[in-house]
Amino acid sequence: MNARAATGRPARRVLHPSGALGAVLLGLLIGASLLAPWLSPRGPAEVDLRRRLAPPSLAEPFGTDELGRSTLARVLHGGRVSLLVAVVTTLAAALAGGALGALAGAAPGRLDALLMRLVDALLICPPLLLALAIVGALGPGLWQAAIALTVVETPVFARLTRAAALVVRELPFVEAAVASGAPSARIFVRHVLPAAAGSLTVQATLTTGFVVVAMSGLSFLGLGVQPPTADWGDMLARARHHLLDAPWLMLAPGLALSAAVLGANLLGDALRDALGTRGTTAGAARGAARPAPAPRS
Amino acid sequence: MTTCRTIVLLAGSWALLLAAAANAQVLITALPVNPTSLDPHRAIEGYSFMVTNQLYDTLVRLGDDGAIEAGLALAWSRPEPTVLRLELRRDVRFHDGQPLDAAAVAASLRRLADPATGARGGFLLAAVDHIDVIDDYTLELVTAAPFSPLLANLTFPATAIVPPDAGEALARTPVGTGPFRFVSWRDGDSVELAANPDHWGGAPALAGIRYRVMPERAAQLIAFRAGELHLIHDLPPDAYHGLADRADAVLVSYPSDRTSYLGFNVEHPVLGDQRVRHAIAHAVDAPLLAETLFRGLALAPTGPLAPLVRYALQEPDPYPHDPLRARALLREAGAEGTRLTLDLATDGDLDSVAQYLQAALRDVGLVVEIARHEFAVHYEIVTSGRAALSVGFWGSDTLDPDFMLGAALHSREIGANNASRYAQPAFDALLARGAALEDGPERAAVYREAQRRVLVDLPLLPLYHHVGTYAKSASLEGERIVASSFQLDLRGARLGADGAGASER
Amino acid sequence: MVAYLLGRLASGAVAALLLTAVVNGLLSLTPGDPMVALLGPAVRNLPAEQLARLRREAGLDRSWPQHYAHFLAGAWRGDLGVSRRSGRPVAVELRERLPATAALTLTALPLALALGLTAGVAAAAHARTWLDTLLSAAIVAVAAVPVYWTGLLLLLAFSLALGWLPSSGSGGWRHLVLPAVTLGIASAAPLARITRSSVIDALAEPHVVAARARGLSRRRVLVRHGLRNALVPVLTVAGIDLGRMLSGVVFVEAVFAWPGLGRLMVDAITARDLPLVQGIVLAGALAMLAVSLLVDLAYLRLDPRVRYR
Repeated sequence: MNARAATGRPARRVLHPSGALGAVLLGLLIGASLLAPWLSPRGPAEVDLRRRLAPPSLAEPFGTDELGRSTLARVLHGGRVSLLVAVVTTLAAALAGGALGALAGAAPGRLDALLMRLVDALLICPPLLLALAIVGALGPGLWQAAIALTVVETPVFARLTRAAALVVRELPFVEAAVASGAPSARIFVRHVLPAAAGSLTVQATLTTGFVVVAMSGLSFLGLGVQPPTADWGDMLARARHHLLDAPWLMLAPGLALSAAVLGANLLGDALRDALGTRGTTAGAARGAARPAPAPRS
Repeated sequence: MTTCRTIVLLAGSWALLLAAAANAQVLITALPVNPTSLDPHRAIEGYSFMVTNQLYDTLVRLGDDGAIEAGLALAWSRPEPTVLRLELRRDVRFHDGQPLDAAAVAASLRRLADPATGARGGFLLAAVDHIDVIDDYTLELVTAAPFSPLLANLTFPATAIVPPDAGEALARTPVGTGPFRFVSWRDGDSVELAANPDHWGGAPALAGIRYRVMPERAAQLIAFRAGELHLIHDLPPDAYHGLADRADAVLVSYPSDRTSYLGFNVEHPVLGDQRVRHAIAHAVDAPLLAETLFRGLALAPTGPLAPLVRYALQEPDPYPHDPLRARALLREAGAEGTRLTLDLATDGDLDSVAQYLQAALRDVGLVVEIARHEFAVHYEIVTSGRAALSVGFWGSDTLDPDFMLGAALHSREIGANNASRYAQPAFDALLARGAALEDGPERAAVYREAQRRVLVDLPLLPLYHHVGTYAKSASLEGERIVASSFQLDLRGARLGADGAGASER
Repeated sequence: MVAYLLGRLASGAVAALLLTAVVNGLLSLTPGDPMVALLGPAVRNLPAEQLARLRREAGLDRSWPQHYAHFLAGAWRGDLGVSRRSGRPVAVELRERLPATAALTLTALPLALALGLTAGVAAAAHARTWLDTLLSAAIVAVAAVPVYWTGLLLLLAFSLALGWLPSSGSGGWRHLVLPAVTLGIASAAPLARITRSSVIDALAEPHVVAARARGLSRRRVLVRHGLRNALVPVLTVAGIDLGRMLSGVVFVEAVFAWPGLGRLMVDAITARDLPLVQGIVLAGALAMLAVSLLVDLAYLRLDPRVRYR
């Protein structure tokens, strides 16, 4: 798919090779996770206390953990958890944020202002604090953490969409469409969404990477997945207990996590270039930071 | 390359210089949490007691072998079965100069027992009806009924004696009679103590103690290896053995009074069947757990109480690992394939144990789901009887068998500590008899019978007895292990002059 | 202009109000008895009726709207209440911990800006060359490492292996180096990314291309037009980033035993110390507000196109 994109478009739109590399990296990770049961000889929860903390060997290329479980098996199966959570969280945040932003962009000044104050309230709160409070309320666990991170990431998407909506609203043909009484839903789908798509896509790739790392932070604080679920972030957080006596434990989850973030970022950058969202990053980011004065009021 | 080495040398000599400037006799150690309070009556978690134990004295103390020895009280007697008479040491003064006399001690004990204080250790004096001051240095604790664990209860750190005018301020500016006096507390950073030259046990050799608040275990280990700490406590087994390559580190392990358990809710429809509980006991390979996961830094269970506790049962391997028997018992009870939830608190170190249990029970055909919750939520789940299985540990800090058995398994504790919801009138009666008897063979027989009953009824399954650990720099000598958690007697400790100590770089 | 700033302040205050309400509501929803959270395993030794009494005394029998009203009334008078955990005024706890966090972030922020801008401009100047690829990969690699791991690895290298710097605790500037560098590195990555793309964008603007055509030196074009134009989005990201940075503070403070607000916050949340959590949230929100105002003012200076009505 990426190869086709790379060959079939005019120069400016070509997906840079680094983007293709990103896509391949992500593809490999997703593929390996899906094939985990066939790629790893042992199950991710197979405990063998007599073989605990074994250093890397031919049979166990990444060694075994404190319960004698295969690190390779856990990383492979962990990808299912980490990547799924990252994608679901990002999609949820993009949908919720997109809807909120579009609503604010289309709404009359007062509702717009109210919605944006709410978004601001979430934005001025250090994200981790908010996530901690939410996880505290919901209890620790994979999906609780995902919900918390969704709430944390939503305002950014809301800001981006609203910024795009405001820009679009000023365009002559959209003004005409509004004046002719076209339903706002149609205006949103026909005009706002395409305008926001570029920056939203870029933001989504970045968020995906961020979520994987953030899950690890929650695990560090004991608020991540429930054992024995394998998740890269959680594996990495636990590996620090063996920093000095079994340092190899951090290798596999660390590499997988880095590869995922690298892949997502490379793809995001390349998409940004290819989709021609030039300028919107700056404008949208500016919109994201401060409550832009409502242009009509 | 040369430049690089010069920098190292420079930095090194600077470190030495600073080390020399700092007082060489200040012991530097780590606390994993910021203490909540340095008032022993209001301190909450065990690590606060690590500090208060140096600042305050208790009336009696635990000796090396678990025997009770003199503290602020020089002698004790029981003129009547319901009266504990204490003779105080004379010429003891609080750090602020106030004298310690019987009236001060009585005031401190009353403060501890007063519900308004909200003291953690208040329950230790629950049996005391009133306190009589006989003369300046003699007082009597009078109980409604004979209660023999009372003296042992007075070794508990939360019963330490505070000045008669102690108020809210004691939490941040502690004043005690202990071998060290308070200097400063930088919140979240460090607590500093200095030697009390007038201590009744003689001036400590150390000039002071500096507790550094260091929440991250890995960072503690690095700091210890880098020579910035003289002493770190409670090392996880792998970290402990990982330090074996260090010639300048001394590793110490000692039996502790704690035991970890798998608790069964006996009101659970499936776990209510004693055969299921025994099946689970035979599914768990406790000796393997102690040998591998803990690498010898835990003892395979020999009964419900740690061997250190008075009258502890010494049954070798009470439930031999036997998956076939476990399966047969489950089949008999019709419990194969049952789904059970295993509850534990997020802040403990029991994650790995819980995951081992999950795997071991899967091998005999039980499906276990682990549910970790923050302590407050965990506590509510467990005490309200909503948990099926739970893991946790109990300490017997006073080394008296009544301490743990009474708190965890007496039927009056259902809805509170008795998470198993175990209610056996015969067991309760044994505890009542034991508490009324003076120490001796008769009391021993009563508690042994109570423990055997626990092994048969199996409201909770002992998983392993804890082993305490600490690592110290080779320069630290003379510290003494007290046979109870969180107590290291540092009165005789000193730092050698070999310069291998921790430095304030 | 003044009217605009006043408006910003007012809307910021509204946002802060909303935020404290949200946090208050969330923590009240949290299951489990706050008194038990506060006491930890020690509750095992407290009789139930005593627990109930302590709960009443701590005002835990109030509903959350009552709680919130109480908090607002107090905050209006400048009284943030008393921490349930330590029994000390929240304001005192904040005052004690704030300097450490301020020192950490204020050292790390310029470091992050310097690192991020340098890496970003260098990558942009050599866009789509091997240097760009290398730098971009390095930037992403840094972003992929959780902050606490960066900290632990730096500890291993500089305190244990080399012995140059103390591993933890507070004291002189030497204690600040590793925590600040850890936080700075972690925060530099997003800055570098946005700098790179903004500079590339700016260099493609017609007037910049024209300047280049006029024969201005490459370096001059890069700094004068590229970087200057790119600074607006960079500043914006730096502003947003402060929030992320305050999150990173939690981990850095834990790893380096740095006695700041981040650790206090985690302790407060685990102990359900609502007054203390509220106080920290308020402090964090005010800091973020102040920064976004500063960023706005900086826009005015940097970009003549920006006008505030």
